[in-house]
Amino acid sequence: MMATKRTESAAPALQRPPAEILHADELQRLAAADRDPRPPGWALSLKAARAFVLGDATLGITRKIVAPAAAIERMLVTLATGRGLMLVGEPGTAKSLLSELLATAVCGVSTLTIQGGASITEDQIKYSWNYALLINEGPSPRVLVPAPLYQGMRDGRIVRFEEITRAPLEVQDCLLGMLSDRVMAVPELAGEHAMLYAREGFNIIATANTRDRGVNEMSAALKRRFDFETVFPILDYERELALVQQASADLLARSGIPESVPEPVLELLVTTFRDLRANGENGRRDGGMDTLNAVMSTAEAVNVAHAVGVRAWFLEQRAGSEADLVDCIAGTVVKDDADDRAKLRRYFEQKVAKKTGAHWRAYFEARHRLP
Amino acid sequence: MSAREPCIVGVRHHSPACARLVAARIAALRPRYVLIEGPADFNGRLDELFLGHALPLAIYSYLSGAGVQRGSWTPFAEHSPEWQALTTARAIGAQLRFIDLPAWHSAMDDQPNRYADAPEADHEARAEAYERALGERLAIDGRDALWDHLFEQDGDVDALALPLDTHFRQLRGDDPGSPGNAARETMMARWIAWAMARGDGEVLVVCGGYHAPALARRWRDADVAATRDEPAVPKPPATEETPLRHGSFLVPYSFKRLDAFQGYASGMSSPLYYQWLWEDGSAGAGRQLLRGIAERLRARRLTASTADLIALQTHALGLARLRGHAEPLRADWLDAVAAALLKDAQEAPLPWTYRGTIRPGTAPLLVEVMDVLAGDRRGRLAPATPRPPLLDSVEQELAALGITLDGEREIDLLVPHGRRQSRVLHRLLLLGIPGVTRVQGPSLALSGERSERWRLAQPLEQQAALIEAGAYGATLADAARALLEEKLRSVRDDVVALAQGLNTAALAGLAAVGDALLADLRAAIATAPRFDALGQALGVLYPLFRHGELLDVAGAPLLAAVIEAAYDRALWLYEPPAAIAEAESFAHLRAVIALRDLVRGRHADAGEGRQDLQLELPRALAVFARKAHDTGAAPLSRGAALGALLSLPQLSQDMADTVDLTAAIALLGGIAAASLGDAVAGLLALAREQLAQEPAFIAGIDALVAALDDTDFLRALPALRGAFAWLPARERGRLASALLQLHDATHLSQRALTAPLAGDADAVALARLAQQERRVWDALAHWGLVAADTERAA
Repeated sequence: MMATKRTESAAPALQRPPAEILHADELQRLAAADRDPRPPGWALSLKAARAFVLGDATLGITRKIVAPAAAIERMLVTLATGRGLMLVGEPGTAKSLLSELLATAVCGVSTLTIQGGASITEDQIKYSWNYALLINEGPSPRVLVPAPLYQGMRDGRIVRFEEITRAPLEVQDCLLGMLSDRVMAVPELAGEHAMLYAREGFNIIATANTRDRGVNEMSAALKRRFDFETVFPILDYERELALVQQASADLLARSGIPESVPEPVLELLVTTFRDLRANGENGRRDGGMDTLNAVMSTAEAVNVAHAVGVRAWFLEQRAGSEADLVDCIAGTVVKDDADDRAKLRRYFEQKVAKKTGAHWRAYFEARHRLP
Repeated sequence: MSAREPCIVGVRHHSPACARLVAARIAALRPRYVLIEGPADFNGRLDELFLGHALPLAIYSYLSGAGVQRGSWTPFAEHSPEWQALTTARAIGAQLRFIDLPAWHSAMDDQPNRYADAPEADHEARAEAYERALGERLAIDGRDALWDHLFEQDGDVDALALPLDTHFRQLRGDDPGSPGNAARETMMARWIAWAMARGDGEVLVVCGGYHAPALARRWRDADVAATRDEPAVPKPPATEETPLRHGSFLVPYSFKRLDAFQGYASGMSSPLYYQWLWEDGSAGAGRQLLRGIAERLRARRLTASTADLIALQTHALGLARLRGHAEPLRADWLDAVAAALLKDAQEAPLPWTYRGTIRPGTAPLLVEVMDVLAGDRRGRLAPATPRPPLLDSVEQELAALGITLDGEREIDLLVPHGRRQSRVLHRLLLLGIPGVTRVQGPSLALSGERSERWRLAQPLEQQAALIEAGAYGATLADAARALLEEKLRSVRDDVVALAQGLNTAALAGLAAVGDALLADLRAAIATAPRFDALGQALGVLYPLFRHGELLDVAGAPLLAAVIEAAYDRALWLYEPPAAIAEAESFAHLRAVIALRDLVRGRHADAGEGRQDLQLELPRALAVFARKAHDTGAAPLSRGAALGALLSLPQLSQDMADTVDLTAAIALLGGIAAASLGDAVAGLLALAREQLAQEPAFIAGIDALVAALDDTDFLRALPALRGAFAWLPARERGRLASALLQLHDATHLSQRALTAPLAGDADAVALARLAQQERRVWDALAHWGLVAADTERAA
């Protein structure tokens, strides 16, 4: 999955505005037209939320992601039924974008984000203290510095936990109580402040990368509290090609390059990526390719297309060719993995060699450029 | 002609909503004629349908003769609109007719299931574009989910008629249809015109939604003069030389065979679910589904706690509400299963989001759930049903070959009559008919054995088994072939089992299968994971293909397809460097040998201009060459690749980076001592004939071994000994002589080198002891206790 073109309505000062700012007008329109019942604590109804993500021509809402409608519906219902949502998939399948869009649609805020990592600690998730005040006044609500989870529970918002499997197990497990009992104990405070009860609307969207499987495998107890949703690469060839074409053209235009990458070259690129991808529909149809260790996502394909255009233009002021593609795939994708290099070479010698068409021939002839 | 119109009800086959609509229409209209899309040659025997069978059942129609074999099913479940039309029309005493072409008609080619739920290929694109546009508008993915959303919800049946009509019109558009469909529609239009011309009552037509718009347009154009009598049902074109057998009869059917996830000639997805929907409505179907899933998952020890089931139901209700369904439909339930029960990343898309067989890598839980929804209901024919022609056919064939089903029988495979007998018995064996057992005989179809022994009997179950097998075909050959296809399809992911299946096919003389299966097998082999298994399969299949004249399988397209795919895949798997465990080294070498033999055989055939197998031989040679030069590859594999090149001199001499003997020795010289033996083993396994007597090779190896120091020699010794085990005793003897000659020791007998060591001592152990002894002497010499090595020798 991949973002389709972002609407250019945001304040120019921001390098990458969050979804709620970028699509503020769409959110407003949806909320105004929304007649359906909203789950408690939600900013939009489920139907309006679906329209926000998948687009709705009648209201002029753009489609923001290429994903099956059924998958988006499952995710929304999971959130509406108060269960945590876990998005899993290969890197580069737009899990984070999806979680950002869902959080925006559900509560209008996508910034309560925890970034998982080896160094993350519990107080970056729950709360910490303003130590200067703490020493002066002792613990009180005024002294407490809320972290995303605390804010989400207090205000009834969606909390995003990116790359949850990269966080240490004991940190992951501090979510258990919050997910099942919906309450956070603050033992330092007394009275009503000792317990923070989550307001309606609070929930968690976590993302995890299948490449990180086994880094910090989640406990069964935590898994049980999440509904899992696998995010696949784009299954439809035409759609993926169109997306790569458009996204790379945008990038090249932004780099000030007048030539876009010719369609035959993009076709080679997308086919190669789909053939060598671990997780896709191709397993059966054309079949039997060994998959690369490298990330073969649509996002990566766009990067390669961009690199092809940049290279061809700045080196020789022309449009990208098959040979450029071979160079860029070798350089940006395979990098220094010897195993991948061998697989890619074998892909050329045995599979590309058998394809017909002038562009495939040219692609095959350029194979000596592989490392 | 009056302005009256027939009532044409377009349906989706096996749709409960359409079944309800058809039944309601017939009950309300009380038509005089009910015309149903079905095989018209069965009209004389419609009564057989009402004998009180347990559904599902099917009308099986066949055409069989020299060179033509066609079979087609017309399956009915209780929730099929056609079945409801049959029973309701019968209840009100209407005139019933099937109005479509017989299933053996050429218009029905490649349509093993009349009620298959897939538009034909040339219409597929249009239907898909329309469904996709509609789905995008409604935010629904997939044909099944879209259909259920539009039509399968509980509600007023009559309100369905108009939307259904619109839907089918949009799907069809102005598509004139293939010639086959045009012929069928001409036939159906003629029947409608006939019924209308009778003018004695209302006419109701039940046909596939695709045909409905065309029939509404076309029935008036039917030839009026021809509408006096019932339209004639065409007869197959039989001539004196090619007598054709044809007919239709009832067979029991099963939900499993109806299910789209079986892939082949399927009717619909999840037949049991739609049966529930038909019986109890969507709320009842939901209850049954939840119970079925819970029971199955617990029986299989997969997680399904009470909390999980609550989550599942909540989720399904939530999805139904979001999608505007009063009760959850099939897609809502399945999506809820995915959301609530799956606890890991998935490798394959969810099974209900695509059509065809379930993809490998699908979570076991989902496979079980889809199986629950498919159901295992099997039909049973009423006792009075005329028995399928297979029984007579088998009796006749056995009688013609002089086989009686009692006692033991020895069959001589060298005479044609014996081979015919063996073939018939093998077909019965394939059908799993009790009472037919092979006690002894060759396991490979192409083996040297000349006889087989069978134990034959007629147990009670035999008749029942034959009736059941009658569902597969009308003659023994047809039925065995259909079953074989099913078996091959079920083992397609295991190449070795597949080769065995094809071997069985050769034994039973069944060399032709459908194109769909060929495509399936090709795809399955293209993902086979193991090189040695592929090699083993090639070793069985290529000889059959090349030399199977006696078995009538030489040059068979089925074998060709499998061999081509296996060749391709084997090359792909052979190339990457991978360590080879000692236990697998023999299988690995056998596989390379099979691959090499295939290349060599094809090269020889190319000289004779045979075109029946499309293999690009240079690719194999290029792979061998790359492998031989690949320093990362396992030495055994490298040696084998070298050997393959050396054993194909006539082919490899034109290659750019070819390898001759000198180069081969040089390559061997670059291999570490410990693995030298492995490389030589690979080399000898492939190129024994070329190398064992070649002085240059013997000298080269001798030089390599002589250059090893004592430690390296000890390391290389076990594998080197293993390598020369590839030579038969006589060749080893000749090699010994050559070696003696090389070292000017012709006074010794070759036995001096090849005889077992005294007392059956282990050569490696002896060498190790000798080295230790030397070390002791060296130590003694170092301290001056004995004379130094050189002086001792002097």
